[in-house]
Amino acid sequence: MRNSNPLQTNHITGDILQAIKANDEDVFAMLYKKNYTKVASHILKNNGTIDQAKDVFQEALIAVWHNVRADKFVSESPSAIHGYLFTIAKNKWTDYLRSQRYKKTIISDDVMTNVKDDDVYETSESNVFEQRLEIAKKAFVHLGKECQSLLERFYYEKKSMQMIAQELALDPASARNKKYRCMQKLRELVNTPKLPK
Amino acid sequence: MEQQDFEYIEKYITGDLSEEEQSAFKNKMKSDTSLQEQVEEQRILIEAIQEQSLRATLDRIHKNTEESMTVKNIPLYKKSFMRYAIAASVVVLFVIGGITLSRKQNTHQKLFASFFTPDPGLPTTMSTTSEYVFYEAMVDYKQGDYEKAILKWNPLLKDKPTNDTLNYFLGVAHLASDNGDEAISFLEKTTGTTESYFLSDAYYYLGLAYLKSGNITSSKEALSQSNLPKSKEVLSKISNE
Repeated sequence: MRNSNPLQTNHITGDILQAIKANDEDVFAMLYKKNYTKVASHILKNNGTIDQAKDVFQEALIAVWHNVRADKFVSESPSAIHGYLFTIAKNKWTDYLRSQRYKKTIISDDVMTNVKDDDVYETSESNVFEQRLEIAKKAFVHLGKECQSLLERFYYEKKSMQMIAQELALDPASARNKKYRCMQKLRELVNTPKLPK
Repeated sequence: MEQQDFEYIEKYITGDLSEEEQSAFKNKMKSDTSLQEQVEEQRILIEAIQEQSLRATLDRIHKNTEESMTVKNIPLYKKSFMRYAIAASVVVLFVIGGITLSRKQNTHQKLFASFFTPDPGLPTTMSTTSEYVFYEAMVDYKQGDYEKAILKWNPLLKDKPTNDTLNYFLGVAHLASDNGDEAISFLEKTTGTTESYFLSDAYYYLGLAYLKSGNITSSKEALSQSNLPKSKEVLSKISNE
């Protein structure tokens, strides 16, 4: 097992970015513990609620994850990732406040120019991709637990099919077959015009 | 889509095709818009699975983080060794800090000083907004900034003048900042409630506060109401003098 205190493990000297790309839960827990309180207190001080703090923090962490995977964040030092995460969260909250405050009013250019959007997650792909991704994300939530768990193991935890077959007590061929059927199911859900809820 | 096609597209996406196969597949895609769409769709599905899995992971982490910071209803003296370890380290800091050195100490004050360590405080929870100020002040308290904590806690009394927890920590914070009289009045509000799980602790600190002020009769009375082992210890020390 790894060192029980993730704040002091070799992530600091080791490759934190590699760990993020590998979806290493320890590194996410470390980022969480190190930055959540700070982000939450910023949001609470700026008219937010604790639930909003949680949402914004998680969205920011997901944005960091996207950007690291797309090699948009290249760190000079491993600790820079914390500042990066905080900045994204702060910007997200600022954007949210602006969208509330200036909703249905004329957006002043002065107000908008000092927002730096570069740090906020943007895909190089089109808006269409984003929209389709949103639908697929909702569809995944409605997938059965067994399928969710199998797909998560393969695509997120990046385990081999052989290992997954073992974990689920299936022979490799039926595990592969099951994965295919789960993906078909997901595809169908995506193409269902109206998802429940 | 057939399983074979699906698996082939997947290999293409994950880069598990040979170079030759890869370029052949790309060529095929150029003229086949339906294949292009299938690849795009599969990418989106995989991306969605990954992002939702990460979300689930983050929720799990959030829960764990919260749990480790949630207040549990265990009497303070039954809490783990850690509390006492922290308390002990606070004693050391206090002694080093020489809080009472500037005064001529009589034996009671020495006794007080040897026993008094502020309650280590409550774990700070992040679960509800309404309690946020309380716990924010708790952070100051734990860092030893008692005056700041008192400033933040005081306004909360308006809504909850008889809250045992609030009065208890205000009392201890005052005692830690050398305001014995205020400490006594806050602690007595807590000991005035019969149900508080801070009762024994409140009596203990009340006893210490009276000891500090030289009121031995009241000190003994308060300490005898507390069932903490350390209360008995102080009591026996006072009686042995």
